[in-house]
Amino acid sequence: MDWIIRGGRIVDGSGLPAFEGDVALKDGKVVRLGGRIEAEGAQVFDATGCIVAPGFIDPHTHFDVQLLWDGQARPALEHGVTTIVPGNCSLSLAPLKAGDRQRVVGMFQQIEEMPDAAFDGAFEWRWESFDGYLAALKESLSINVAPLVGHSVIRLWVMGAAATERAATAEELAAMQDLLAQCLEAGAVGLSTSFVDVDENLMPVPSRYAHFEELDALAAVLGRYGRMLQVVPEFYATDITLARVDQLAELSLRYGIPTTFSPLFDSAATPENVPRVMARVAEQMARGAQVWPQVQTRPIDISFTFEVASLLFAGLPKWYRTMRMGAEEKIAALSDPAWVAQLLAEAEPGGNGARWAAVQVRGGVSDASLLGQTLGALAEARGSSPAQVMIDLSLQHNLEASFIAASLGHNDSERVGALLADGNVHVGASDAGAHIQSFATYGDTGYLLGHFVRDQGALSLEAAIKKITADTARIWGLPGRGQLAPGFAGDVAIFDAAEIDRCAEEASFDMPEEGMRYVRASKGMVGVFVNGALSWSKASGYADAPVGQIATQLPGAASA
Amino acid sequence: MSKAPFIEAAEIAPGHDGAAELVLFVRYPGAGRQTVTLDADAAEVLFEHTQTGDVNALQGVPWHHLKDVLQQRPDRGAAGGNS
Repeated sequence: MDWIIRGGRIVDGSGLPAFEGDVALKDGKVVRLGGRIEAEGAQVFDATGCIVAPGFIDPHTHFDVQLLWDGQARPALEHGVTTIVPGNCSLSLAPLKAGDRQRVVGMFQQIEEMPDAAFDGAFEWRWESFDGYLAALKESLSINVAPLVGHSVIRLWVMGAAATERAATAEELAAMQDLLAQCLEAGAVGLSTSFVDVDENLMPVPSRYAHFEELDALAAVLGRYGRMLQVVPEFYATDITLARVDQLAELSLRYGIPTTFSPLFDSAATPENVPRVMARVAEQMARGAQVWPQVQTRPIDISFTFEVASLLFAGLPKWYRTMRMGAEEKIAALSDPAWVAQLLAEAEPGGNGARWAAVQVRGGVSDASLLGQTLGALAEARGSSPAQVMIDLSLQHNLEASFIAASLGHNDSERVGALLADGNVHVGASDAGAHIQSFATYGDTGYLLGHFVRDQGALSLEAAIKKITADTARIWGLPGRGQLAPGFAGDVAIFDAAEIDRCAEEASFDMPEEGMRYVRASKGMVGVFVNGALSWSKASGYADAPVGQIATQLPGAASA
Repeated sequence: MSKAPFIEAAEIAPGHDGAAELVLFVRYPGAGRQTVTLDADAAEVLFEHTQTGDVNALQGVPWHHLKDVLQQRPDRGAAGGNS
C-alpha cells in the first residue's frame, strides 16, 4: 500500500449510505476500502471525523490556458475537484494552426477575460494538433483532464476565414469529420458548440455559422466513439431552448450519444422558465435520449461600474440617466451637490440606504483594503450613506471603481435545491476559469455540500456526492473514475461535513505578470488525492505532484 | 383591450455572466405571454426608441418598438453575451 486514509466515513459515490472504514491506495488506484486496513510502510492520512469521497468532477470549465502554466488548476483542486472538463462552449486551444492563434486568443479573452499576459510568454505555444496540445498539458499536469474539442476551432482549421462567413461545403464537412475523429482518438471527451457566444468584436463565434447538417455530421462522428456533445443554447430565450432540447434529443437518439447543455438557471423574474425546460427534458429522457441540463449551484451576482450604464440602475430613472452620460458629463453631474442630492433621494428614499448596504467594493480602487468591504460598512465608518460612498469611490477612481451586488439571481434556495436534486439535472456549469475578472467560479461543490446538503437538506450527502462524481463520470464516459471502489482511480476528497463550504470571494494576483482574478479558497476540505498522490492538504497546501491523467482513458493508461 | 402585442411588464434580472439584463413580458392579443431578455446595449436601443430611461415606463409600450430593436440587433438583440 502507498496510502491508507484512516478512520473516515466513506461516501463512495454510488449513492448508497455512508459507512465507516479505511481506504487503501496503491499504484494510483483504490485497492481496498472498509474496515481497518493495516499495511507496513504505507503512509497514513488521518481522516477521523471526516467524509472520504471520490474526487469531484467539474464538467464545465475553461481551464484550457491556465493548465499550461498551472497544472493544478488552482484553486479548483483544493475544493476537492480532481477531474475537469475544459474546452467548453465551442472553444479549445487545439486543433489550431499557428496562423489562427491570435483569432482564438481574442475569443478566449472575450469569454474568459484572460489578460494578454496569459498568452504572451506564460507558455510556449508549440502545438497545432489536439494530441500536441495534450502532450504539452501532460508535462506538468496535476489534475485529471477530460478535454472537449471546440467546434469553432475545428471550423477555423478547415475553413479558415470562411468559418465566420458561410456554411460548410460537403468537402469541408468531410474534413471536419476527419479532424474531429483525430481529436477523439487523441483523447477528446467530445465536441462543444455554441449558439450564443461572441468574439472580441462581438461577432458570432465560428460554430454559430454552422447549419444543422454540419452539427448532424459531427454528431455522427461522436456516435462512432460514444462521445459527448456539449451545447450552449440560447439560454435567454426559453422557447428556443426548448427547441434545442428537442434537437439534442434527436441527435442523441440518432447516434446514441450523450448531450448536455448549459447554463440553466432560476430567475425570480421568470420562475416558470426552468420548470418548462425540465418538463421537456423529462419528456425526452423518457424517450431514451440523453439531454443533460447543467445547473450551477452558486447564486448569480451582478457586477457593475459607473463607466457604463448597468441595467441595475434602469429602475432608477435619475441614476440611469446619469449612467448613460458621457464620462465628462457624468463626472460633472456626480460632482454637483444638487444633482447628487436628487440621486440620493431616489436611491435611498427617506434616507434608507439598505438597498445598497450589502453591495461590495470589488476592484478598480487604489486602496486594496477597500476590496470586499460593503458600502454599508464603509458608510458607517465614514458617517455617510451607501449610495454616497459608491459615488465618492467612483469619482475618486475616475469611474473605474467596480462593485458587486451579490446573490441577486438563482438564489431561491427552495427552488434551486429542488432543481439540483432532480434526477435529470447534471450538477455543473461552474464555468471555472472563465469570467475571471468579474466573479469567482470556484467552490461550487463546497456550496452544494454546505448550503444545499448541510444547511438546507435539499439533498442527502450521498446523493449530492453521487451527482458530482459517479453520475458525472457515467454521463461523460470517464472510465474508472467517480467512485471509491477497488480498481478505480485513487481520486479522493476528504472533508469535514460540518465545515465544508466555499470561502468569501477575494481578489488574487496570481495570473501571469501578477494579473488579477477573483478566487475563493476552500473551507472544510482537509485533503485531496489525485491518482493516489496527496496533491493538496489543509496542513501542507499544494504538492508538486504531476500525476494528472487524461481522464477519457483508463486510470494509469495515460500517465503524465 | 389592445389589438397589438405590448410590453406588459419589465424587470431587471441578473444574467448568467454577471451583468444585469432587462426581462420584458410581452402580452399578445390572444392572451399569450412571452418573455424577451435584452442585454444592456439592446436595452439602450429600446430606451432610445421609446424615449424613456426608466424600466417602469416600458409598461404598455407597443411590441413594434421591441421588434425594431431585435431587427436592428439580430445577433445580440437578446441577452447573449457569453457563456
